[in-house]
Amino acid sequence: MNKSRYTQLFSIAAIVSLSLISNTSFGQILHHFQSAETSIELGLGGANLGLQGKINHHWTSSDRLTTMSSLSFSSFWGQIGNYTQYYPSLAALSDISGFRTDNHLRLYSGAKIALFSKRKLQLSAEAYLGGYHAFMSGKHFHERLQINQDYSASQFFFDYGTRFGINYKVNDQIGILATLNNSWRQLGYGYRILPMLYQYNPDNKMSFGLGVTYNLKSE
Amino acid sequence: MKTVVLFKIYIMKHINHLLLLLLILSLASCSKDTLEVLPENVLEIESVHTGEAYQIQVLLPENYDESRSYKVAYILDGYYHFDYLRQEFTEQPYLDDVIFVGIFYRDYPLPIARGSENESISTLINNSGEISRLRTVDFMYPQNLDGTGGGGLRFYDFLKTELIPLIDQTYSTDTNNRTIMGHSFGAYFVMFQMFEFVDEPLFNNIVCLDNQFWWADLHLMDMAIAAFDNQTVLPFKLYMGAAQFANFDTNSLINEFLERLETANPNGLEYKFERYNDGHSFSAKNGFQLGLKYIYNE
Repeated sequence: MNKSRYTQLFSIAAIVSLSLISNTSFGQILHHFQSAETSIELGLGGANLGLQGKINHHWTSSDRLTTMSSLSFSSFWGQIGNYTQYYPSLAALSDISGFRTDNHLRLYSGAKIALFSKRKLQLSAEAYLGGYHAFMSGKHFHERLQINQDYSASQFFFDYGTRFGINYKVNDQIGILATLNNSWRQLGYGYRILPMLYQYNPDNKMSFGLGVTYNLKSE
Repeated sequence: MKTVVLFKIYIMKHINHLLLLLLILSLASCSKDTLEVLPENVLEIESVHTGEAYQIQVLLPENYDESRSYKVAYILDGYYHFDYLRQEFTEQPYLDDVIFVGIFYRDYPLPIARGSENESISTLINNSGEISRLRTVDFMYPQNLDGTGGGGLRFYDFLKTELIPLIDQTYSTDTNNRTIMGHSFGAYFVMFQMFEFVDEPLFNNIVCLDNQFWWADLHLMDMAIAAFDNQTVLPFKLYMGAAQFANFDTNSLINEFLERLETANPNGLEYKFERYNDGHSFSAKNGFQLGLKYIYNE
């Protein structure tokens, strides 16, 4: 057996072992969480399309009010961001290709309040602390000037912000959720609040989410 | 009585800590108040060249003395960058002999960014849009392939025949030591005027952050290549910066420019380049601080 075959077998064994460990660990920690959320995200700032998973620990829970802390992971992907793409006549003269990603880990705390007598509609407000890893990589070719540049960048950013949600309870187990995640990181810096710059910056993320909530156990 | 004795013993035991705390509090109270622009130093120009009305804010050094002459640093996009840089001009000793001039659009203030009492989100959004349109016209030359921009030469005439003469007449300035600073489209303009008016430069020092070379099918790159090929003497001190998470083509083309600059190594040009671990808008503050330090203290 050659060396590369040993490497492949070792890699497979490592992946299987880590999967078993993480599944077991997840099963253990799941006892501490009472609800979970998954959503598809449309992002401004950084990559555009993402998925978010979030598990919630309920500190207190009543018919009307739930206080909770949560852990979430979200992953965004998109085409590489460049100004040339906004001008078709310029884009025709250059060949720019590549991709970008940002992966966020966040710790939320907040509350969820149920409205109206049937308690089917819930509003939530949470604040988060966390961070994310941003990455981009691409190629730039411009024939007339014989430009042929590769460029990539990779950076971890600390982050904090808010999340507002509206949840409609379909039944005791499942609900439909719409959210707005907004990083507050841009405040206090040079441009401060300049809404149109969101689309150009990977370092001040806003995302709109649409997803599902699950009750993990009856309370 | 016992309480008083215990208190005295406590004081004796912790006298060093208390003195240290006192020293820290004293030092904190000694920190300078951020320099303010006095009402008489807010000027207005209705430009015959661009047709726009500009508000000019002039920040004088703390002990401004008319018998001395001062270097002048001009910043484009004053509505974004002027306020936070006042702190830098307050704290850095190497900026004690520099007058700081910010260029604003008079009719489109950004109320939240400037801490106005009349804060309004709708005004902010409306004025942000107008500023975006106006700065594209003023800073970019020639027109892009879609017909936007194109007023860069008229804006240069505004600087040359209206703004700089007004500043030099109103304040005690060193006319041989001017700096111009710009970020993004502002960076494009400061480098464009460097190449375009190299034989009769208005500015000796240039701070150029996140330059947008892609404009008008790389017109500025064409200008740079021509200057390098002709071995043009560039009598400037140039600071360039880039945010590594600015848009892809910002960075790839800045790298292309740097490669060609290093190969050409033009006579007369003293330059420095730094890349920051941040995105396009966040990098401006850091970049201008480092640029000012390079221009005036290195």
